[in-house]
Amino acid sequence: MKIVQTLTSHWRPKLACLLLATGLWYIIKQNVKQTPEPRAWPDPAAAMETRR
Amino acid sequence: MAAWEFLQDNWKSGVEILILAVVLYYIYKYLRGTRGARILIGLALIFITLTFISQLLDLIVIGWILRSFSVFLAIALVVIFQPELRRALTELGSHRFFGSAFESRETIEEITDCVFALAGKGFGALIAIEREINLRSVIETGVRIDCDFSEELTLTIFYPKTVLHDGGMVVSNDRIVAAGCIFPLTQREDLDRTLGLRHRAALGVSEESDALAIVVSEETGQVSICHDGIIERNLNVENFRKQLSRLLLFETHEDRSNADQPLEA
Repeated sequence: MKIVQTLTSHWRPKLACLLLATGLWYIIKQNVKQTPEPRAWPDPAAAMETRR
Repeated sequence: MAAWEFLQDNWKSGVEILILAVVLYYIYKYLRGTRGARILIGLALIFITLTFISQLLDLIVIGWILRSFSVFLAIALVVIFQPELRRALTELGSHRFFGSAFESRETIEEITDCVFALAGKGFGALIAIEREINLRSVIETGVRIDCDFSEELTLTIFYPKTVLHDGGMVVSNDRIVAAGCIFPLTQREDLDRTLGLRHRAALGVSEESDALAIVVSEETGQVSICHDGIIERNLNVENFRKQLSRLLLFETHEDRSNADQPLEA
């Protein structure tokens, strides 16, 4: 009962924070997906060879 | 069954979102009412909306601008929230659990008598009691005194026609260290409009340090205590003494025999 009361008090800012957190999480997740892992980057020596 | 599988696959995301939401809520609670809070809400809304749109429509230029801007945003946030960050770090650095008593029981009795004598005479007063964080920067703005705390001297300092009565007095280790000091004003905007500069200065010093600030209103004679950025207004003698003992001697209400009176905050 107390947990429900704690959760429902000031519900508007709490809900806004939850929505904001979901949006933020989604954006970060998208960015993480798009950024390649360092291992996936080409070897610098190989890249130099290609440039030559 | 499908719901269970969905939960199994995505429970980590749920935990992440929950942690983020809790962090955001506590940041909101901490900054609520400050000038910086509105700036932060505005910036967050613009930033998140633009990022979301640029992701959704795959806008490369806007995405690049946002990524470049985020570096400056981090620096800007430190500058905008400098007072709040300072307060947060101060709170982190001072753990009361291991602290020692800052003032003696006799001084608390003397301060209580003195404060209510000031209120009775209709003198306005602002007294800061130093705790772990020293108030050197505040003391330097006033006149150094360095003598034992006494009711007579305090009444003389806050007598309306004296030179020092307008500033604040600093008390440390049972001694009056300085008077006529200029305290930093609070930047909060959610305060009662009836609060004057004296109360705002008391709140300011309690926000920027762990000092306890006592205010006697010149208009109403009401006594207030500010600590950790919180103001407790219109205290009577008993409640004032209890609060002072609790904050300076770490005495709980149960420690005192007359502990059954609720506090009027």
